Amino acid sequence: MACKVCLNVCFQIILLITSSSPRDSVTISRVFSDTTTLIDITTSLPRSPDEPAYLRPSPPFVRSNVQRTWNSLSSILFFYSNFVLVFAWCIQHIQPQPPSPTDTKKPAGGRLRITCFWQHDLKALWGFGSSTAALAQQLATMTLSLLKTVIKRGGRVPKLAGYGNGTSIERVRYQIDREALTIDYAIIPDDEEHPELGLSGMAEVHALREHRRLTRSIECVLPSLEGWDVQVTMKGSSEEVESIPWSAHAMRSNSNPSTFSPPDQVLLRLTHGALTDDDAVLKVKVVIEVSGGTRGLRLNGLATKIHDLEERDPSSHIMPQKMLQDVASAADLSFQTSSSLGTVSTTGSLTGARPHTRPSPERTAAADKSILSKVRRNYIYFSSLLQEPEAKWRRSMFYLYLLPCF
Amino acid sequence: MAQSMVTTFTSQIIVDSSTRLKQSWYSALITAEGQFRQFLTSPASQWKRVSHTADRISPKQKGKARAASVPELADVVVHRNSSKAGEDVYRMVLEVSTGEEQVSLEPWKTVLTTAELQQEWDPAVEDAHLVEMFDRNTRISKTNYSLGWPAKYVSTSAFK
Repeated sequence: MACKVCLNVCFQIILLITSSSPRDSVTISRVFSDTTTLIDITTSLPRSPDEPAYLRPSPPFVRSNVQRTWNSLSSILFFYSNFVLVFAWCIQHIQPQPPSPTDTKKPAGGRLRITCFWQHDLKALWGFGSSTAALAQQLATMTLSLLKTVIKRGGRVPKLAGYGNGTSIERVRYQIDREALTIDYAIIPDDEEHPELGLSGMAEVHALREHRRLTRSIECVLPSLEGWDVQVTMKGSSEEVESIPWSAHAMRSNSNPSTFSPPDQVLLRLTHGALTDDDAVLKVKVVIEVSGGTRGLRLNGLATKIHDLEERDPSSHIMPQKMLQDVASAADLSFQTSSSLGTVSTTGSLTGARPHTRPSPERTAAADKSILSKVRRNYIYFSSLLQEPEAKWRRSMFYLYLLPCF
Repeated sequence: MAQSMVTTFTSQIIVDSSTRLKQSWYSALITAEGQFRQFLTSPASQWKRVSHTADRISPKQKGKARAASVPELADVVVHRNSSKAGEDVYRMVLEVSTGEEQVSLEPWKTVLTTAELQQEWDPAVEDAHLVEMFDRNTRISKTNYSLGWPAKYVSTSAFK
């Protein structure tokens, strides 16, 4: 009984605190894209006793106070930090329809449709329903602001685009005032494959291949051909480690591989040599900054050649088939509910919005799965053979080819 | 021998709990993706238009008064789906004409995946940063919301 009262009091105190303190969230997001559609989905991380320390709340944010002061209550309060249910963006480039012979009107130009789905658990958090008009106003402001930020910053913000085996990304920060991206990473002794969770089929094979291609490397996208300053500093576990050779390769590329327009960005790849022993570690800090006025790329102060366009594998775009179909069908649906308040014109050309879809295979899902897992195992086996040290390959080992590999 | 067995056992546990953790994070993402697809395909009748700008002028007049290419707040169409009790979903749609130009979605990807930029476009956010690269396309971020949000989100003018 006493306990119940105590709980009740605690709960009220917590409610008081939560309504007046700042709030935080820890979320997981994944981005999918092809040349006409970009989808980014975010949701809160489920709380777990196994979670690493850096995910635990820190003051003055509310999760912290709650967790530290009333540990016994923490199970009740788990839902507090779980409040971003779905926060998703879908950006579609709707290309102009080719004019048909019967159509006398001028063909409509292309359009960009920005869709955001926003579902937060506000009721559980604050115990009151939200004021719809005010929230709608805020969300509309957010949507328009995103467009403005993309226009203002999209061509000036570099990003980490990939990394591979033997590379551990430790910290990535973008400083808005300096317009600088700082990436801290470590080159570690060859680690095993870490395929991405949830991929299957070609996407998984592709991810494995990328991890190999970028072994002990990182790859960054610098989104314009204007000037860039890149600073690379290294700290190794020994002088020997610090003297391991490394190289930088920069090339012009096109951010949209499906067009024939001239290259509009620079891909920068940094690659490090293999570590000398299993205990060695090499820490690397890279700072990429827009440089004022001067064109080209400078690496640690020295002008660096930017090589010409390199063919990129279009399959580097991953997009689950099902998701694409849904986006395609939603393109037809979205505006049917627009009331007379509508200010966006709804024309028949909406049906022209068809992201590329591939014909669905006629094999059964199970057959597909078994073929793909076979391909994957073969690929892993094959690429492990490629990495065998030269010394292991002796003439007498020819029988190895005869061993069943799966 | 026994020592090494213990070590192997302990590291096994660590690997297991870390894998389990990653799996649980990943399944949260899968659930959200399922939700997203459900939102995309849910019937139009479930989405109700929400008015959000008080000083609205009629669309016809507006069209004449301004250049069509500059989007403004009233161009964002907001709908709400309340088909599940207590779980309102808001949908914002904004369309911009891109003309004949080639469009790259790369800048959108950059802005959406750079956590620090969220404070520029999300009025509710004070600051955000990346805490872990989960894999090439997946990231874990920490977001700090403005003090009092959303209790005070009524005063949106403060964010302009």
